Amino acid sequence: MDALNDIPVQRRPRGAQLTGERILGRVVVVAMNIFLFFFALTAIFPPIWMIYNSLKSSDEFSLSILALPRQPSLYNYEEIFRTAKVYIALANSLYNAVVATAGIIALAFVIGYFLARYQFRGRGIVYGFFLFGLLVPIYGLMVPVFIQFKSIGMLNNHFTLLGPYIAFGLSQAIFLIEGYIRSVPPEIEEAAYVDGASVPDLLLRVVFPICRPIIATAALLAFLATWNEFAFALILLSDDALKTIPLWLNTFQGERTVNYTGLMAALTVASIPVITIYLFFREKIIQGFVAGALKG
Amino acid sequence: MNSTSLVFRPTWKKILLFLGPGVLLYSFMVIVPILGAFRQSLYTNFNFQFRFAGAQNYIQLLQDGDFWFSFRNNLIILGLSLVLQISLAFVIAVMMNSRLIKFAKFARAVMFFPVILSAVVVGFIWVLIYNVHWGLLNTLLEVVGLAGWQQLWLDNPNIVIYSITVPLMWQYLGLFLVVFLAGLSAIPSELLEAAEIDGANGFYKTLYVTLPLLVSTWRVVLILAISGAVKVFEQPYVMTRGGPGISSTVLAQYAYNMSFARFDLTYGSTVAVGMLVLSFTLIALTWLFMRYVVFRGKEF
Repeated sequence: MDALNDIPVQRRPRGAQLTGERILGRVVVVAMNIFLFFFALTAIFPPIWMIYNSLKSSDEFSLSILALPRQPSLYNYEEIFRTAKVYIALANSLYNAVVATAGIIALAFVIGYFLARYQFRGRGIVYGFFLFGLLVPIYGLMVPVFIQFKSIGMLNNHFTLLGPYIAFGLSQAIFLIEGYIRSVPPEIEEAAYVDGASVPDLLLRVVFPICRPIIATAALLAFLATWNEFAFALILLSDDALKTIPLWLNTFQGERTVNYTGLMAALTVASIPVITIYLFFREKIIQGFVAGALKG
Repeated sequence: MNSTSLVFRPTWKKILLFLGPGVLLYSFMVIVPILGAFRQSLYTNFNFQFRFAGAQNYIQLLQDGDFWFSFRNNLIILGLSLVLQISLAFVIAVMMNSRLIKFAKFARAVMFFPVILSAVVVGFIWVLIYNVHWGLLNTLLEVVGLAGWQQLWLDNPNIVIYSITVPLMWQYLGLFLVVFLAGLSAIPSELLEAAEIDGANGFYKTLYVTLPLLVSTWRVVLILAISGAVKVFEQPYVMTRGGPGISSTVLAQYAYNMSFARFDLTYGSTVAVGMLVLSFTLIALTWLFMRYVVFRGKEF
């Protein structure tokens, strides 16, 4: 390979003889940049449009839906906190997302470690069993899960969503963590074992610190997924006091059909946590999504 | 893997302790419900009198025009996703990988951004975009002098299925983009330079070097696209509830309607099982196609 690298790459002469081709090349490059800029804009403009319109009054919005707000006000936000009690839904979403994320990480870390390091009969079956969770069309489970929860009386309580959220998040987290542990040489664990560490010690004091980067990624993805989840909350919860943010949005829209700026403020409130997380951890999140996709 | 090491020799007690809780929870939430739904689908329900019916629900399902219409809608979403979304994501990825783009990393972060938004938020954003009087789309059409193209985007049964597909493509384009970019970055640059020395331009480099080397990435993308298109539920639910009529109803919405609007849980279960079967059939067919047609039986 070294010999190959030593051959200088032949570049086109920089002289004037290829001007026509070079101009064409520059045009193509500029066109590509413009095209990409346009696409990036279509991805980001709708949420931005939503955010700046949430600072307008309804009257101002109906006058011009495109103009920036002349006098930005937080009136719509005050409204949804005062009359629509969005904070209850925020608290519910936070509770579900935090507890489910902790549960997913705790279980996936142990299972991922076990699958990465241990050879035992049935390992392939367990692996395939969790792989199934990545491929199953999750909304095909709505009716089955509802029937099961109804028959055991698990609808409408504080723990209802935790079970499905943890279970549905497990597969992805397991594969992220398992893949990472495989890439780490086992010598450190063996040394710790020889020094007399028990398995729980080994997991918590040796392996967990090593896995911190991938645990962070898996936790971010789990948090985003549970914060955003709607379908299972829709069928399993009907009590207003338990509703999560997406469910609250659905009800909010049902009640006031004409208050567009209010709806935009509500959508913004629901998105601020995920937008903030994305701003700080976007590279980790993207890497996590890619690694998860490549497993499926 | 050092399997002779004492650390990694598991006893059955250890296996149960390590795997038990996770496997139990996961079985209870994923596997048991599917089995339960299959059991339900073998019964009929008249005023809460359950009666064993064998395959009767499945015979009804096979003849149920609305069920197949819903599946057709899923296939339309899949088709549009393959033709427009994925090819666009691929083209953009190739462009961004060519190092001719000034702000590639920033563009990648921006284009991925919709993926992390809640499906409900995306649904509502598009409800606002499609709004007849105060929507972004009709307003922009008017601004550029195409007022004649304005539509009742979510109320016209002839176009609504396309209207609900666009937000899905908008939201997940970035996911396919980053998967392609990951695949592209794994291609050794020596190969592309070699092709360049041989006189290949960007187009031929893509066609003869990049595309064949990306086959395993394409497999991932196809399976992502299929499982994504078959399971669609949240965005259309928010935008149209499957309406007007059943014009934008997809499989998951149809199962939901049967169970929670008509309260026919046994037939709803049958639809859910049908949906799972169709989804796995599509994925299996794609896998076989990739294995025996694209790879001609070679390992991949």
